[in-house]
Amino acid sequence: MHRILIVDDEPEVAKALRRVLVRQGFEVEVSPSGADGLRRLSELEPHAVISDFRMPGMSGAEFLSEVGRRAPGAVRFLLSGCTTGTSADPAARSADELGCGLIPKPWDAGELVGQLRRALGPCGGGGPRPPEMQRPS
Amino acid sequence: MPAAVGRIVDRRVDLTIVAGSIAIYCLMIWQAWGDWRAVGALVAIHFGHVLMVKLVHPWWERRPPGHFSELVMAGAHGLLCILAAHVSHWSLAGWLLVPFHVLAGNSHQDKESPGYVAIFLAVNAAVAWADGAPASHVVCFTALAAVLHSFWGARAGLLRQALAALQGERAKLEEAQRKMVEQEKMSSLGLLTAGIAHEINNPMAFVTSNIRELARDLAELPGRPDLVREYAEDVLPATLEGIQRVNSVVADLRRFSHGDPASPVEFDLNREVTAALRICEPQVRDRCRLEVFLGEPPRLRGQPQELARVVLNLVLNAAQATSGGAAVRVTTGEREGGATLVVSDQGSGMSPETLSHLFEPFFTTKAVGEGTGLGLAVAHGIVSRHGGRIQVESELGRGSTFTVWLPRAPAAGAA
Repeated sequence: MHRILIVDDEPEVAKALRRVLVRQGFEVEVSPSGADGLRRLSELEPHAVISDFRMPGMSGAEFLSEVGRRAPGAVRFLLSGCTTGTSADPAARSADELGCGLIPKPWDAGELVGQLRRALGPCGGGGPRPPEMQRPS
Repeated sequence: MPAAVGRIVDRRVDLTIVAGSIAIYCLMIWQAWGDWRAVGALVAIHFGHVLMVKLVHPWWERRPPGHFSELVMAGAHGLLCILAAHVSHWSLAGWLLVPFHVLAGNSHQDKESPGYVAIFLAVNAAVAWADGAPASHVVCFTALAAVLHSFWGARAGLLRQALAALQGERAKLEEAQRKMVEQEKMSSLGLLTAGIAHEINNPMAFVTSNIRELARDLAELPGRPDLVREYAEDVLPATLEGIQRVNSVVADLRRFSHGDPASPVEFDLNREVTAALRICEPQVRDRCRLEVFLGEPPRLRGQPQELARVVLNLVLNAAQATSGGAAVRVTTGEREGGATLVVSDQGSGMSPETLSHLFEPFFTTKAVGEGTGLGLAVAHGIVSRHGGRIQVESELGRGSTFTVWLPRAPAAGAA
């Protein structure tokens, strides 16, 4: 089962995202800030990290660049209100520079999960199992 | 204010002419003192002159201006002038009238009559000669008048040139200032809209996601009560549609404010026009007839989809102003080293008031729900970001023409 860390200062955005991902069989942790996310990084060992772009304090780009240093194996995504996936607005530029994926806000659940699955590949040798079977307690 | 300055100068010249003519007539009367018939005639002629300037001039100037009418007026003055000199028996003061008339007739900034002066001087010399005036007086005063005329003409020409140059510069400055004000307005609006769009977008992200999930879950829920079924089948899909509308307005706002530029590519304007027209053709078919004239615009560099959106917005706008199947004409071509796109309609046209707010976001003349007032603001933003400009000509009841100019793509090799 893939573990995903979501970092967003807006709790409702994080909760909505978690709801979508949990239903699809991911294990999801939520953190309200970049600093908190970094503290829990070693303990959680996430396969993927999704971070909002605009946050007070540490920005999403700073946070994900640090994640890239500390946990090079984790797949990283920037969450941003850009309207197309291939834009050159600040979020998209940062995503390009960091080598992260970009998740548009508002997202489409199907596309979001597809994007994550493609980036993560099959789970820990066992391969992806039907999502309904993986729902965590 | 060249026009106002011109009027002040004209007034002062008029005053000088009046003062000069009174002074000269006084001199003539002084010289003719004792010959009461001559004095009476001079007073009468001067009175006639004043009447002509005060009454006949204003009436005559209501006629369409032209070389001929000016010549008639100058001729009448000239004849009075020769008559006065004749009555004063060509005294020295009477001769003064000759150069004075030549100068006065040419003193206004917008008059020029070189042929007339020659005729006047010739007639005057002939009459003086016939009256038996001394030949030296005839020659000297005619020469003096001719010299003064050419000298004055040269100076007036220089002044006219300087004035025209100033007026040209002023027009350019006014245009530049108008553009600056426009840009300033647009950029502060851009910042404001970007902020609002961000604030709306964030909550809309989770609202959209949650409602979608809820709709999906309810649809799959077995054994639903009627109320829940109603929500699942009617209320939530309608709600999602509303959410979709809000999201697309927010997306438009972002496009207007800072754009959403993908890395620029080279593209062909005609292809984008064709694509955009294919999309909007079904929507406008009932209102108007599309006439498309694709020229040979140079290749452009930028975001082709965005330019297609400009075409789409302009055509939809034109169609909404049109009714009864009139033509909406879309033309592309080349001008000033760039591409042009012209969308013109024969629809309702716009008032100057509407024109002045045309590109501001949320400015709309359409009924609530029919237009957000973002179409032209978005078009303006896109065209500006491509380094181009967008211009409108419109007349109420006659239709509108939008002209977009875009710079050509830099030569291959330049990044």
